[in-house]
Amino acid sequence: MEPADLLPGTLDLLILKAVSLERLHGLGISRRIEQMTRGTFQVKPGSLFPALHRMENQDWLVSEWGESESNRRAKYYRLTKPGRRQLEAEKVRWDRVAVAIAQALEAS
Amino acid sequence: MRKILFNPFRHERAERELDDELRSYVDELAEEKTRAGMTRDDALRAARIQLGGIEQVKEQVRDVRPGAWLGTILQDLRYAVRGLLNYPGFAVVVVLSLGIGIGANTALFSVLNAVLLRPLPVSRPEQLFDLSNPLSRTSVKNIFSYPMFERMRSVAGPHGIAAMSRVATVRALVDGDRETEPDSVQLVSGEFFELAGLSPALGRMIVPEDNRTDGGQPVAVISHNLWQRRFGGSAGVLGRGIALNGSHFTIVGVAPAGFTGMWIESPTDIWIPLVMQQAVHYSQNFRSTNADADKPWIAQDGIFWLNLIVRTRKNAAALDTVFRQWVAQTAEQIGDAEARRLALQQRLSLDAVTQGFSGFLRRQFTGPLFALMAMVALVLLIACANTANLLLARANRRQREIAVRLALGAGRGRLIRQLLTESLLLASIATAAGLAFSNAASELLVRNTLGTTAGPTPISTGADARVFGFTVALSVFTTLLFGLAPAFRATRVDLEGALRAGARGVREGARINTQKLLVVSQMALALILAVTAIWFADSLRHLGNVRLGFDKEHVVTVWINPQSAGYPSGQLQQLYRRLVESVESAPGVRSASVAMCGLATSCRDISDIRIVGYDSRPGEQVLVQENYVGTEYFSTVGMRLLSGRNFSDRDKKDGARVGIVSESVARRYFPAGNAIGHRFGYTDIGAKTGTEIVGIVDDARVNSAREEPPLMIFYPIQQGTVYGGSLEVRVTGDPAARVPEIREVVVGVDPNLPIERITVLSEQVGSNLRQDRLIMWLTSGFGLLALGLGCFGLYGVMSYAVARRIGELGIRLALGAAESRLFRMVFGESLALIAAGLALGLPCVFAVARVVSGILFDVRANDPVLVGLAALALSATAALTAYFPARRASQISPVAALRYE
Repeated sequence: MEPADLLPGTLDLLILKAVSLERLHGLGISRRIEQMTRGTFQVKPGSLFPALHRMENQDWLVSEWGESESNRRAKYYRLTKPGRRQLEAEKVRWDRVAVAIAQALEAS
Repeated sequence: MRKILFNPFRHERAERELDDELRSYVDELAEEKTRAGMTRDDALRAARIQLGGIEQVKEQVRDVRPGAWLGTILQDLRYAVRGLLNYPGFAVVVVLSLGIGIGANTALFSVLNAVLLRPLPVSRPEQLFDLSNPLSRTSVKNIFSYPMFERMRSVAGPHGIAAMSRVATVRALVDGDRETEPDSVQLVSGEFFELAGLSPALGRMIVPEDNRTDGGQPVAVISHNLWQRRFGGSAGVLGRGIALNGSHFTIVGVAPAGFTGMWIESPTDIWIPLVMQQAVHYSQNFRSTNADADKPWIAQDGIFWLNLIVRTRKNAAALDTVFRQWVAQTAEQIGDAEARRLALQQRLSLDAVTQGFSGFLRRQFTGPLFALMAMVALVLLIACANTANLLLARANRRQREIAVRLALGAGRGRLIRQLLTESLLLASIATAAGLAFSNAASELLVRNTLGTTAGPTPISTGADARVFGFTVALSVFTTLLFGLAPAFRATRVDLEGALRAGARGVREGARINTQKLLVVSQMALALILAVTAIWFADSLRHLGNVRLGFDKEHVVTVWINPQSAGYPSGQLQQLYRRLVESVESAPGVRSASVAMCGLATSCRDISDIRIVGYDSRPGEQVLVQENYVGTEYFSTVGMRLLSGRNFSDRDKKDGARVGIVSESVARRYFPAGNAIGHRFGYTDIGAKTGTEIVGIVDDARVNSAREEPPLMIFYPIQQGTVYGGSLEVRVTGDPAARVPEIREVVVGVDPNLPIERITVLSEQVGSNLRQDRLIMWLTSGFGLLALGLGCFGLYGVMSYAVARRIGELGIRLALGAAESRLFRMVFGESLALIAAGLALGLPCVFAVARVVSGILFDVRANDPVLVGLAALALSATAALTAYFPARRASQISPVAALRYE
């Protein structure tokens, strides 16, 4: 399947979800998103990094420098409490949108 | 907020971290690819390609940072400063031309603000209204008698109405000082300061209790300005004595700083109660019917001398009722039935005086101010067009740089912002430069027009919030005007084309066209300004050559003020006789005469008269200007007696009353040419036994060269009890040289007679034209400036066009084109631009002509000769400028031109 464009608003949700289990660095986040969506969404660095920095400024994420699997210095992102609340809120919103779209498509 | 503030300063660290983060991303990605079997180098390259432009990513991250805008602005500013320092010549030219434009606009606006816009510094000035007495149709407007004021106060209440006189100049002598000083004084009712809502800076204000006893309450409140100027701001001023025209007053208070009275052109130094009118010999701007102006005015119903100010309109109806009752009572005295009917129809009206009272200032200034304002706006437009042109030309030189920045990932919006920042910086520097000179310029402007060379400026033109707002708005507007188009044009670059060495962007043709369009509009604007300058110069020439009707050469005028010295009216005739006799016996003096009103000054006495033998239309007023003069007056000032006889010593004080009328009076009211022998007076009955016309003199512009000769009636001074204001002296030789001797003689007659000043008549007449002269100089200056800027623009664009086409021109030469042909080609292009400018400007000129002709003197604004003259001057100068680029084009060496590519 071809990689699809991200729907507006979904990038935040996917990033929050990706870091909700453990801290991850930039490449790790985009690999996790690919894995979670079975390759449907590929996040390009030009979208990923601005989003990460923006979410850090909104206090949803915190960053710290750590060591990667390949023993390199890398910047890791972790979910904060407000970030977790945001994730829940985004989930609810997404569920509503998904149901609504599904209903709309089923209607004849 | 903290983050926003600190972010720019943590800039370095954030940048480093971002760098590290992105590098580690690439490394991890490469690591992944090596694990998948790629060589290390291939993996790194593939990873970098996958990242996309590292600078673009960085830029995108920077944009989401909090306070990014501040960081970018600082960065843009740094960049702008660097850009300007790289082209200092460009910066200087732009700052100078814009600075002059903005400065001139600010200067004129601050004068306009002071004259027309600035509200009085009192509480809620928008609630203040001047009661307008519709019956006073003479030059002295809106005036009431004191008893009328009292009646109105009884309905409006003490907090609703106040009365004030006009502002008069008195001789003030502070106790303990020797020298008197001319100070301005205003008589006010006790309600005045309370109505204005003003509290004293020191002591107390004049209150209703100060205005109870006629002549018996000599208290004075001084202005903050006078307090500082004359008493050094000392608290000891309270209780000090001050003599005003010889009458003693006690200072009881100081008005708040900034309050200089209600009349914008006459800042007031001293306020005294109305009851002190007689004590300071206040006698001006009044009208009297059936009254004795020598007795105290307070008690007299027939002396109209007060302006009434009310707060809010709420009492308007009640005041109108009082007014109409008064009219009904006095209407019986009006002989003419139609005039009586008209009088009874009059209603009191309320005029807002939020911006203060003004006599001549607003009337004379408003038209010229708006004309000048429009001119400086045009000058600024031309300067903007020039700057836009320079920016466009520069954008071309920077095209490669801009292309590189775009290629490296800078957004177009960001680049436009950056270029606009640069424009804003230019405009700000220009504004600062403009402000520096506008303050001095506006004060100079006011001083020059009002003719005050020393002392405090009569109207302060200081910058307030409104002027400041205007200037800021102007500079932002200017920036957008000259910066926006170049910024958009400059960033519309064909990347590949621009980056290829030596190639040109495809947009360049369009840019040149924009520049040419700008030059054409500059030419059009310059034409408008040049024509305006010529109009005003011609107007002044006409004013200088106008037939005055008297001979202004060889006359010295001594301005005397027997009234302020408290001369008893019984001794006046003796004083006049002694003055004339003593002065006439002085060497070099041919004749002398006293007059109530001097020439070319604001002294005028206008009356409504009845003429026997002239049937006025119903309701028609016969308004004439009157003057009382000595026997030798006409020969002294050089007015020609056309028929009849002159005054003589036989016209005694108690003898038959005689008058001499000006030619226009005779022609207008006696078309049959039989004026001499007819009688006139102030009432229908009085006219039958009234003054007999014994002579006719030539019409004369006695008030000002600018004003049409008024309908004049002269009376012999011995037949009236009037205070002489001037002593006219005809001398032989240079009048200025006679001034010291004449002063000595006058002082010798009576050392206590106040001499206000001694002037030479020709200069006095000239001083009336001060305003016109100033406008002429200003418009000429603006016209020249516009011409210079326009030619500069033309030169710039054509030089640039030649430089751009050097290759093409070189090839043409190499192929055998004659040099003269190249010259003609480039020169012809300039001429086309000039012609287009003139074609665009001419219709505008005729539109402007309609507006401006009202303030020109005897100039037909659409006179083709004047317009042609301006067009000729403009095209000649512009063609001269265009010669240089054209010559350069013809002198190109083909070899150099081809190497240039």
